[in-house]
Amino acid sequence: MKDRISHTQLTALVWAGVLAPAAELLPAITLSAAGKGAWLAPAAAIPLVLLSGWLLGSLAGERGLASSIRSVGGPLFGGLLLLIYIGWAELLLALRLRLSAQRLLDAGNRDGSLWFFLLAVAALVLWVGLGKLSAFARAGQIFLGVLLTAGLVVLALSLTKVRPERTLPLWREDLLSVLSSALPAAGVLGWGICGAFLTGHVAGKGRWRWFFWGMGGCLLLTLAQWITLGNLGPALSARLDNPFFALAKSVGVEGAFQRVESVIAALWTLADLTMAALLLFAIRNIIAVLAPKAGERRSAAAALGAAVLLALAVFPDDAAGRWSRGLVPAMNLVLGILLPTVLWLLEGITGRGKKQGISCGEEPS
Amino acid sequence: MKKSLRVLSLAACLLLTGCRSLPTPREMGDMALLRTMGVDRAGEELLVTVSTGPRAKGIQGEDQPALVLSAQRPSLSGAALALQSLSDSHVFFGYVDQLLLGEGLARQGVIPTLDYFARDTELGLGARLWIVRGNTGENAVRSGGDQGVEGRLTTLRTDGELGVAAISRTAGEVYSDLLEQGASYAPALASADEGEGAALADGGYAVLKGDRLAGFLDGEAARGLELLAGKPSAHVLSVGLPGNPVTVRVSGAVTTCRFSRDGKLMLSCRVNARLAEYGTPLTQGERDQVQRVLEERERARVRSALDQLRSWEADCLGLGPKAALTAPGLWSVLEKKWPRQFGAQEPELSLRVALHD
Repeated sequence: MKDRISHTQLTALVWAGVLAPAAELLPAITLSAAGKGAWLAPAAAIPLVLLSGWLLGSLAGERGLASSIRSVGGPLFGGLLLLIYIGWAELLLALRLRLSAQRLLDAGNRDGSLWFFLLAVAALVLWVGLGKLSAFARAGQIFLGVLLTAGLVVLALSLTKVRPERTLPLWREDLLSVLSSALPAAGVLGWGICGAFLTGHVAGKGRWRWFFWGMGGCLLLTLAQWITLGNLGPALSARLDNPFFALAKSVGVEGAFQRVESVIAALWTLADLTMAALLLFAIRNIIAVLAPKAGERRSAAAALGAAVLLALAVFPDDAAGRWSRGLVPAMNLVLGILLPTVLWLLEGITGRGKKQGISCGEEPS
Repeated sequence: MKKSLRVLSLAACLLLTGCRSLPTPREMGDMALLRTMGVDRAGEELLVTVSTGPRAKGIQGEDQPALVLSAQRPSLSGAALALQSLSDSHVFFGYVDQLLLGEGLARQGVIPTLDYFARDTELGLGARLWIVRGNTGENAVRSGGDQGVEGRLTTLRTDGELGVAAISRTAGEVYSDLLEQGASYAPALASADEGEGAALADGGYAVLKGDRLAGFLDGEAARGLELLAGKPSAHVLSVGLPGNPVTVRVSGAVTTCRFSRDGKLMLSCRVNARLAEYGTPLTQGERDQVQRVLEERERARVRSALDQLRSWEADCLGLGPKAALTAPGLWSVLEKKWPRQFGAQEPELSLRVALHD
């Protein structure tokens, strides 16, 4: 019997995972393009996020994205595309492990070793990634709840210190820069594209639910960016490695808790864990289509092992951050929007894969 | 599956043999939790002085004198590292919530220090910032003696938040102001005498322009700055009505800013005051007279602050950016030349006092 999850659980998993890169990269990645208007970048990215969700959902149908890509592209071209997606998921997995370990190391004031934290996170990911998807999905909902609560506590404590003049006014000439910041923002949110490979496990009603999750998530991120920039200002945020965690560092309740950043950094490991496990499940699903006889769990363990080696060997100190800010968002856009558009057009022209597929919003018959 | 788990467990056991890379556990009793940091310029080097405040030690929690350490190095990180070697405990900077900058350092630039607070993993931008007027941060930190200066600074900060002392500001607020609007202000500390035991007192406000100290506002001008910031420290004013001396307590203020069509800054300040003492209940005529006197005095204070700030071309309160919220189109033209225009054009001020019983 296939391991089934609901639409809500899949979107909760994707958002819980995406909160990890979002907290690391927003608003820093959009400040150079949009300046004072950088807080609007997630809202400007809504059309791109929804387009990506619709394209991937349309292609995936109820069979899952991997089967659909193979069906549309044929054994050769489709197989090649799946290899590209596997390679990308592997790279993202390595990067996530590395960045998570780095954050834990920083939270502990650089006490201990990076590889210790990296292996600890990897062990957790292996435990989750070899288990059942439905169990992971249930945990993902709880993780999202915990992350949102922690994030909202930081933002609520910072709300009273927001200076509106830090983020406003915006005028006509700011419009273009805000719109152009949609690309890096969508690139950051593109960490979630691998979630589409799990659509084959989704059952139950879900018409339009993805649409509201996508829009709601982006609007919530917009609010978070406004509070962050309203507190720190665009110039200071641009100087900081991580404005959200810097904001967490300066909030506290006198007499109750002085500083919360270590707690927040530790809780954010749940986002790393969710994203890493999501990528591992995606890899499992692609391998199941590419090499059905390979054994999903064995191949997942091998993929994680390779990611650990990659994380330890390929990314020196600041390379992980550089990749995360530069290449990754750009490639996420290519693999999340450009390639699915080509496949969608190909599907329309050739008619291949249409009979078995349904669009993301439709209910399975 | 079971086999792979066994291999994994074995690998984990092997990794644990190199425990040197695990995080080092530390007992709280072995740590010196620093609360206050003073930073001064000493020639080409920086002098960093830190204090823990009174410490509790032992089973009974007996009071230990405050630990005060100083180190001089070419950089802040170098000095922080040197402080570690001076203490028999592990020096932890994560609880530093008071930053005292000597006037000498403030005159040469505060941004490198604030930047260090922003980037360091232990220090944070939530620390309260004070400029030590006419003295060094080291002397200010050491002025607390065995009891440390932390209690006094905490009182000043709390009083500031309650509106009975100077407005307290965090390092993050000041740093962000300097980067966004090119000017900021921070409360100043003054000490009557040199050395230990000299109590730190409210010394007005230090105004920073660029990243350097432009000057201090005190007395009437300091009260004016508070009114413009909308956070007046509670103060009393006496009005000598014939046969009925009246004392009024100023309890609050709201200042709003906007631009006129020709780009002139218009300030509107509403001050709330309460009758504190009087001989006989005031007639309407007497109330009007008190109100007029109060308006004149408070207007003079605001003018005094504005004149001083304009002479430095330092819009440290962000009056221009606040006014810009109502005139985005105009601001897109004015923004780049704002400091000069702020200095050149006198703002239009309207001040009203609301007198309550």
